[in-house]
Amino acid sequence: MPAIESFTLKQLSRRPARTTALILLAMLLSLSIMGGTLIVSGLKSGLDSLETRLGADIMVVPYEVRTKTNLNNLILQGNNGYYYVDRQYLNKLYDGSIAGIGQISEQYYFATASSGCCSAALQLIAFDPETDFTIKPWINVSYKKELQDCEIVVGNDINAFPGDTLVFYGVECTVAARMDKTGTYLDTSVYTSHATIEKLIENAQSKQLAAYTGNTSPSTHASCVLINVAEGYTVEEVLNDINIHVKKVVAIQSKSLISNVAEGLSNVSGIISALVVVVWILSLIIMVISFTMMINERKKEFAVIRVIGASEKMLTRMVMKEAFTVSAAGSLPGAALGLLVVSLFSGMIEDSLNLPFLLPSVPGLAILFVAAIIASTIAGSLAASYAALRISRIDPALILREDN
Amino acid sequence: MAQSTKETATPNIIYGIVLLLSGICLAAGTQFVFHACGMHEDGSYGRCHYAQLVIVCIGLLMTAGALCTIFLRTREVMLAVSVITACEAVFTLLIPGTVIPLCMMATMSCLAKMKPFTTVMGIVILLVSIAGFIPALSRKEN
Repeated sequence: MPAIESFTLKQLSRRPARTTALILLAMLLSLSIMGGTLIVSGLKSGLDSLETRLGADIMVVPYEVRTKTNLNNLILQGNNGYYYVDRQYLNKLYDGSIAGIGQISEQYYFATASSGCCSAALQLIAFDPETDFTIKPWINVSYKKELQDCEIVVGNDINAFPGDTLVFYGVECTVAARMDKTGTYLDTSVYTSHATIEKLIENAQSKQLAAYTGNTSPSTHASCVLINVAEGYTVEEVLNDINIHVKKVVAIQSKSLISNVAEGLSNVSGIISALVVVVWILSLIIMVISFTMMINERKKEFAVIRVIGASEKMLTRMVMKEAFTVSAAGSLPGAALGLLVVSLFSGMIEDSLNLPFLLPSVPGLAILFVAAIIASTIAGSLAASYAALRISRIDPALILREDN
Repeated sequence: MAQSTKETATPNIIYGIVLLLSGICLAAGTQFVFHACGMHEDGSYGRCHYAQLVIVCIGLLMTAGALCTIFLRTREVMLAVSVITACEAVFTLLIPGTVIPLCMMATMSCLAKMKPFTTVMGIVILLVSIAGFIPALSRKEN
């Protein structure tokens, strides 16, 4: 057995170019399966996270949102247009005119200029801790206490940690907690109370930086009202009622927005899966041809090995061993590269696909990594099985007489 | 000496070409494709912009080292360039984020594009430099 192993390694090192090419093909196999699976599962996890975190049946937003922005962006990027509706129009939602409203909570979106570094604005979301049912449950995972004045909770994509201080319009805000990764716009948002936002607006106005708010404040305006339907009513009933009776706003069913995102996700996943299949088919065809050519080239060598006493089984094992070594040597770096590239570029993937993207947990990543290595090693070894089977059936005498 | 040069000429050229492509890829990629965040509204630049400039300079230095390997073709040059390139690769890994802090949000260009690109390139270049260093060293010992 050790003799076969050393023979295999010697054979592989004798032809470095051919061995390198085969290793690169095996690497491509595991890279494509690892990268493709990670992207597809990341997109699915992102959608699940979006569904879980949304937490409201109906979103009521200012009517201008419908005309000025794509509604899908509302759910993927947040209310980044910064639209506001006067609270007087929302009275009907609270005075019992609309039947079937179970839970109701308002949010106020506020954009900051740069904070600390670079030009992008941060999205501040002010919520009412008394009524909130969508953000608070998630904040409570990392921060159990009530948010005090000038305390903020940051999304996972913001490089700030509990105890850090961020300055918005001259107001120092302390980071109370950092939320878990969601793969959605919630990761780039900052959550705080209405009182803190009022303070920021006051300071922004005193510095004549109030362009984003258009002289609004959480006490007079709202950016979004989130509603959960009471038992005994359907979402459609309440939605239609709001759209008919409440002026200046539009009610949107959260599920319909998610189904649009799911459709986009299914298209992207389909394309990625098809690409992975194409790469696998092509790589396997090339590997089968390479192994067949390699065996044909070495027919005499195998005939001599048979003559000196190697059995058919031993010959097959020798070829399979070579294929296994090459496939394993390529699969490990290929899977590692796929993991590295997708993990590092996850932000860019999310941005370019405009879909929620959330990488699996560490155990999930480890399982995928091992599975990718096993799958491509088995596939690479199987590619050599036909050639191995053929060479085991050669007639040594016939092969050795061929040139004479 | 002539024998020694002849023996190492081909590996030196291949190694030099790989390094040259890596250096160009690092410099051009960081400058034009996987760049840091743009100019602020007030016309100033963030710290990440300076991290980008340093990485581009490292890429250009790497290119110069690769040209030395291609044209001088001696074992000593290959060894020296390998060591310098390994150091440059480590700097490429450390400068964005550790030595020079980047931006606040993971979705910003410097964190979403430049940092992942320089990390992948840093690892690849480090492996290439090791791949060049070990054979050159073992040949000398022989």
